Amino acid sequence: MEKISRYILVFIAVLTLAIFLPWLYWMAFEKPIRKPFVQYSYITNEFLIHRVSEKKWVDTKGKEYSREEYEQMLPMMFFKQLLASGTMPDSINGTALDMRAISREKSFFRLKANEIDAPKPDLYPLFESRSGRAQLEWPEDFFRILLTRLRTKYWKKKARCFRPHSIRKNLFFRRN
Amino acid sequence: MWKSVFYKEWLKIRWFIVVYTLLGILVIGYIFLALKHNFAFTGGKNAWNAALFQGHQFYSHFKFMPLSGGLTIAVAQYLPETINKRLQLTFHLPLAENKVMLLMQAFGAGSLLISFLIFGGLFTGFSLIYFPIQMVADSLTTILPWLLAGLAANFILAQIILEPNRIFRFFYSLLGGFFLTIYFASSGSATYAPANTGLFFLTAMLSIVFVFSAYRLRKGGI
Repeated sequence: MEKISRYILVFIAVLTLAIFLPWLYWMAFEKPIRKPFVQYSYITNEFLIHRVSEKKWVDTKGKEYSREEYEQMLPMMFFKQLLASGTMPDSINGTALDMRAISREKSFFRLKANEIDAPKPDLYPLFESRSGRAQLEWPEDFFRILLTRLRTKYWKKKARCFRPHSIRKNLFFRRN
Repeated sequence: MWKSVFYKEWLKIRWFIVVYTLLGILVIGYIFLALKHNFAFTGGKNAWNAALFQGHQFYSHFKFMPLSGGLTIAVAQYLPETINKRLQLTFHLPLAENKVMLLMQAFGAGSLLISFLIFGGLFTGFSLIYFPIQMVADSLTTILPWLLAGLAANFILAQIILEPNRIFRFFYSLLGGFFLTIYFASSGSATYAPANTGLFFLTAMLSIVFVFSAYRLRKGGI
């Protein structure tokens, strides 16, 4: 008994040190990584890299640009700046630019690495696409799909096909 | 014989475990009072969205409750035994030495488990009033490592208190402190799901480690 407990003690000590010694080491010696900001320009049809910490604007071949040149190659992103300095082009690749359309239809989508594969409850909002409102509204109802048969089949055959006929039940929850 | 050992342990920890359980019930009561208030003032829609899409954990006040319970019970149970080396008396009982120790530990951990079961039952019951079972299951997955941490803290502190050598004690405290943070990594709801089985087995293994400290105490400490 004493022997077993001693082995377990050593095992847990090794495990703990294996987690925390590297952590402490990297805390002390890790060098910060300055992430570059990469965008695609459809004027030059190339990726443009903004190295924020070094205040450099380069393309993939290493050619350096001034900040103004860089912004002119990305008119959608910096259209307010270009309008202010009067360098906004009238058209891009033959398409005329409408300032109102740009500001209305510009949209950003941000995805964090830790959101990929993060567990989520199997509850989904059901949006009404024809509610007559200008914007989508959060629904009052959430639904879940019970895919019991689909899941067992998936694990048995590892088939990646979706079989709607095997959905047995949809249950709705009403929120208060 | 085991009944007498249990009775001895009960005499030591009864008020601690009773008061701790009542305090825990009050904390859970507060959590659901706050949730009810939240539902009434900002609406169920917002509460659901916060829980589902913004990673809000309405039960975060409960996080260190099991940990404090584990530490309290370990102190109540083993600190009196170290005064004048009273534990040596226990070793003169007509029972195998390790068996007595394991019985003591089993009683302490069992009382904690009963408390935790009461907390878990109340939490699940009240949660089901406000949320569907999927969200409640996710909350329980999030809470499980905290409960395991309570048990682990109990075992580790038992080990530290019983250890006769100060240097060993220091290293046990250091390692134990680091080890316990494994259970409390900041994370979203249910992100501990893949780790819970491993943590469960680690905690189960920890439950007999203190036998080594008791053995060293019995031999007089080195």
